[in-house]
Amino acid sequence: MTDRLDAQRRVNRIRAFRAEWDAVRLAGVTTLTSEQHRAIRAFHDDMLRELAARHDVDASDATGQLSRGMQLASFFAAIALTAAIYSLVSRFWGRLDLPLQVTILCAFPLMALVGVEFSARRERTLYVASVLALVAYGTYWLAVVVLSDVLNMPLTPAAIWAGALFGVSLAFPYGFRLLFGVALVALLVAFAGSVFDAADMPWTAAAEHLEIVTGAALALTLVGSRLSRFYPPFASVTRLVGFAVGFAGMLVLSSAGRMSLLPMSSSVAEWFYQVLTVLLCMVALVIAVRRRWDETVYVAAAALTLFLLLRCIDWFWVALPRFLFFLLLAAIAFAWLFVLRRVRGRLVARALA
Amino acid sequence: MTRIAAPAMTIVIVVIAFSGLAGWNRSGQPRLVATLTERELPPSWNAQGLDDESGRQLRIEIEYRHDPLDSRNWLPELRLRAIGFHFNVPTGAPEAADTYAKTPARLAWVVFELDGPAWRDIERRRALQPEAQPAQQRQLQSRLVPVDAGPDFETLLARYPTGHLILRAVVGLTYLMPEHGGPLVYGAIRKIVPGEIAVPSHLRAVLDALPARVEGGPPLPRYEAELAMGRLGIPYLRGVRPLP
Repeated sequence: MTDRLDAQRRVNRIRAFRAEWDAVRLAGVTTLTSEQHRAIRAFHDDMLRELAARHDVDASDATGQLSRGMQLASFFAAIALTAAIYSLVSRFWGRLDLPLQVTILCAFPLMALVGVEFSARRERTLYVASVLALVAYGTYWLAVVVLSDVLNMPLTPAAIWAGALFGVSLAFPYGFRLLFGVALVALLVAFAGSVFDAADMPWTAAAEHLEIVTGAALALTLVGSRLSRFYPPFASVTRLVGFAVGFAGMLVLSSAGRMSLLPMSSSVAEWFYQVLTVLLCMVALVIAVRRRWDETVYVAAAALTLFLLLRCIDWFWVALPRFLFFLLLAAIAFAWLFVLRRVRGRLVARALA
Repeated sequence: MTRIAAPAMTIVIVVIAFSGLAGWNRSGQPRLVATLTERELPPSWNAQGLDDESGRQLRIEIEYRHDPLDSRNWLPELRLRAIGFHFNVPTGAPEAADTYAKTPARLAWVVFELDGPAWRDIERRRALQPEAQPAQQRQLQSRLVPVDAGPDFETLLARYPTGHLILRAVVGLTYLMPEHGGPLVYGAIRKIVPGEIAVPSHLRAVLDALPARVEGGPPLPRYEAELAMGRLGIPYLRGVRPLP
């Protein structure tokens, strides 16, 4: 997997080099002879052919766009296939005996897993394999939910832990990023549910009192960088899931203090989380910009923008006339733009230094 | 193939665990058996359309005893404390409403009495109300009434060895504001866990053969079902019989 990523990076570098080289030649500052230029071009052509043959990389903009289209198509194919299996189960389920039901529920994800391995051996791009991996994961949850229903066994965090394990153990060897992200969400739900379960509370209370899942999500971001040793993109997926779930939880708690478990009144809890949200977003933004964590920059900026919008509505929607309210929003947006421009300016200056 | 070994093992272990636990729950003598009717175990709300043969489920329907004073009678503060709730803030304190609204719900075992004195008492009170429900509608209501609750199944079973059903439930606190007759804090059942019971395929024929309800016809229950409590404290259906 890493080989293919490295190969794609090399292709991107070659394409960037060629574009820049053409511009340099047009400006007339080149000192290379035509033969030297042809030799470089031939070397890169050979390299591109070899990389395309060995790793099936995107050698041009057009193939890159097609690849993104194929990824989207794969995602919809996985959803449609899982929905088809779910509908099939609904259509005939009641007519089957329990042993047959259990066997079929176990067989769906197992067959999809065999399909993942089989297709991964045949295609390097892993499009079909990723579709089957999502189907395997979807049918895992189908099996758990339906078994819980037909056997009257209430769903517990143990089954969700197993779901997280299933997703992570399937995502790791093949490098399925979407599956890894979904499995991390399951991991957070399992952890928060287990905490409530251990306290003799319904595990579903984790969705009503968000502190555990929020704290766990933010803690998850700390292990993100360590995962890059196994497969670099997993580090960014971990940060994306951790910060997205963490900031979403903080935003909800900053508006709905009654969901907090802190021993303080709801209004004080809301103030506490409002201050904490701003601080954490700013810290995350600074760290992310310094370490070039693109996904974290997007999530933190989106969370901060949403937070400001929610606070403005909360504080000024009733108190101000509409035109003044929107003028205030525009003023805040300009101020935010000004801050971001200053940060960007410093980064550009640092890059040129 | 070693790459799919871990997820394959996971699904196999999960399926074996589910089936094994369900089998163990149903093995041996049930810890409790209760015969209920369609009033307490009506068919699930999940409509079954042409494209849906997902299997039948029966819903465990109970009398929730939502009235605050009635709730304080069967679920007093002492029992709520035993379940795990704390009452450190006096109900008249300004922060009481906020504190008790934030208190997370808890899991507890609840003892239900079927068609006993508690149900007759509720019926009597309802009949005295000015906006009393029609008799036909009352004949469809569940007679499963909660009478006790606690954190331990065995203790409750020793206290109510026969004629009762003990089920796992989510219990939460509700705060009654002064303008609505408070200040008062009382416990209430939020839901039964599990709230629905699957009908095994060998019992389905009885339910499939039942006559459809006729609009305006007698609302009497059409069947009775035997609900057993297994070793793990999880209920399951043992039998269904049509009623004449």
